Amino acid sequence: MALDLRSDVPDEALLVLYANGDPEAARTLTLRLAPLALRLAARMLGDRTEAEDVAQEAMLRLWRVAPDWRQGEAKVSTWLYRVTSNLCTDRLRRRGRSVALDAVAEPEDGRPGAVAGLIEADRAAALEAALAALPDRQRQAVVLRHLEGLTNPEIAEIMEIGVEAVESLTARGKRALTAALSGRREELGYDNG
Amino acid sequence: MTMADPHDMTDPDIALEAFFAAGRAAAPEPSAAFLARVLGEAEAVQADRADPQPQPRQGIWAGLLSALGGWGGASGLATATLAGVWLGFAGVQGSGTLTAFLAAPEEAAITLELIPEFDSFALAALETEG
Repeated sequence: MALDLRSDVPDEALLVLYANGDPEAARTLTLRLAPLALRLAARMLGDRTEAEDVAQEAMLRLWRVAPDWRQGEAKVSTWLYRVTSNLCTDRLRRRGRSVALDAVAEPEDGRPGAVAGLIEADRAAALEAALAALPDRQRQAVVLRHLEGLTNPEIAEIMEIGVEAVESLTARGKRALTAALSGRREELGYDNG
Repeated sequence: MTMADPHDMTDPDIALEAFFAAGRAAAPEPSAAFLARVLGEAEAVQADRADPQPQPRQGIWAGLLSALGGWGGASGLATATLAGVWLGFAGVQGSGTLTAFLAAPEEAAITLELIPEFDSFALAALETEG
């Protein structure tokens, strides 16, 4: 698909344009926001198909809420993260277990000339597996903070908890990840400097 | 005080950040099919809003009833029509009361002009033409 041709237009303004029937706004918002919802859902659920369903549902809710959007109340991206998070939480509850560990991608066998990329992919896969073992709320906080790069106040708004609770969740999550990944650092080339 | 070496993988925070960097680089990318589905729904919601579903077509009687202001309006019109008919009778009888009309002997001749100045000869001519 085409690149975001309106990179200088904020999400909120695009949503108003969308609600007024601007077809280009629909396209730009899709390209800008659907990947965000998909990333979070994939990392929360560990299942690509389910993640696409959840991201599509979250985006559909955005399209429906567009005419009633109140300017200045919340960032569109924050709202979308929150809706996606809630949909993921519902799915995880229904599933009755945490992330589908068997759905976490296994690293592929080496291909000539792709060793560096392979090590990087192995590292990402190791992280994904370690994240999958975390309790849901810790995983959500760590993903939003360290993979999506959000601030603690933003995460607090998304998770509808206080900033201190966010700090506590990310700290516990990181400790658990460090413990889970410590045995793999050498294997993944991190201890070589 | 010495600065931490950003490449010191024995520091747990730095090592973990390296894993996060790998995780960010390997972010799941949306497929074209997924984006097309999302955009399709966006356009469908937009189209629904721009062109709301038309009301189902009314039948002729329902349309007439609606034009008269519903059942309330229609019953009011019926009452007014009957009142007009009765006033016509009352005028013919000259008594001015319905009771007097109803109490009149059965054999009394009653002329009811529903259409004043009606020309029965003209009607006969129309029937002949038809």
